[in-house]
Amino acid sequence: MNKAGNVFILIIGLFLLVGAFRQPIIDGVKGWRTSDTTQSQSVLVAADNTTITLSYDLYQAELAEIIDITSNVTGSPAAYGYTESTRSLAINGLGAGQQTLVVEYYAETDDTVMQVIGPFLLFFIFFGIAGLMIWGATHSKR
Amino acid sequence: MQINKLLGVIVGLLTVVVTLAISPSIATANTAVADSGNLTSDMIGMAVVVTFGAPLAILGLLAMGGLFVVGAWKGGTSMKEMLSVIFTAVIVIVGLSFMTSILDYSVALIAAGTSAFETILYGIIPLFVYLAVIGLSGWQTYQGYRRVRGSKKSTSMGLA
Repeated sequence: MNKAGNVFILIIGLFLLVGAFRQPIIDGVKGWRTSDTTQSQSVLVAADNTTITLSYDLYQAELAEIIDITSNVTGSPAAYGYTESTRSLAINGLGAGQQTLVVEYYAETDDTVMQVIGPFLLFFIFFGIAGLMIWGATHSKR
Repeated sequence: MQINKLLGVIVGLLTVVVTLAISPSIATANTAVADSGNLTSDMIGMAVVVTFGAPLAILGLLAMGGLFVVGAWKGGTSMKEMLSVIFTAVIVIVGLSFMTSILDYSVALIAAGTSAFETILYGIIPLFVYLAVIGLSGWQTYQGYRRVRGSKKSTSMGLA
């Protein structure tokens, strides 16, 4: 009964880890690895698109990490491409003319230690806790 | 008894989430120390330790979450333990916030000093304080480890 009880608690624990606690842990790691950055840049747009260079690396080089893009000229600016090596962000949906673009995005932290350990954090946390749960359950004497 | 184990696991997971939620504040406080402009060569060792201080403190607190998960099966985890982690994290943040002032005071002391001995003596103060602040999370983890070990021993003795 006791072993069966441990297995039952282990299953619920693992379910909680990958279910209810998955997103808060992912969000927490992201919060640690990134900083919410706002960059303002003046550009001259000839057609409806332009390219700007971000000051910091875009988190995971994903366009989804762009929080918001606004312009002081009429238009619906949206990012449609990002080049990781040059930090170039391509933006379209702009009105023509001189304008100021404000880009808010999640930038990769410039903390060198976090740049090294950051990509492995989620793996360590999830597999570490899952491993500890399994170890605790299998080595429990009660 | 099984419900206590489940509660212990939940406390462990909550500890990880809370630590991660607080971690940006610890990182920001540490960045303020790194960018204070007072990390001169007189501040012995500070330029080196400040680069990995915040991640070390946060990883120390995260390890507590893992210990609580193990402790759950030994019957040694409660909400009190989780609150102690939060309390430790707050102390680390406050301690790191004080560090910029301590660096300022040390610079003033070094400037007021007249001998090389005084420069070394005053220059090592920030390192001691910084290591004490960062080491606090490691000490808490060690205490947690001892509690888990203690629970294990007492469980084994109870069965003998």
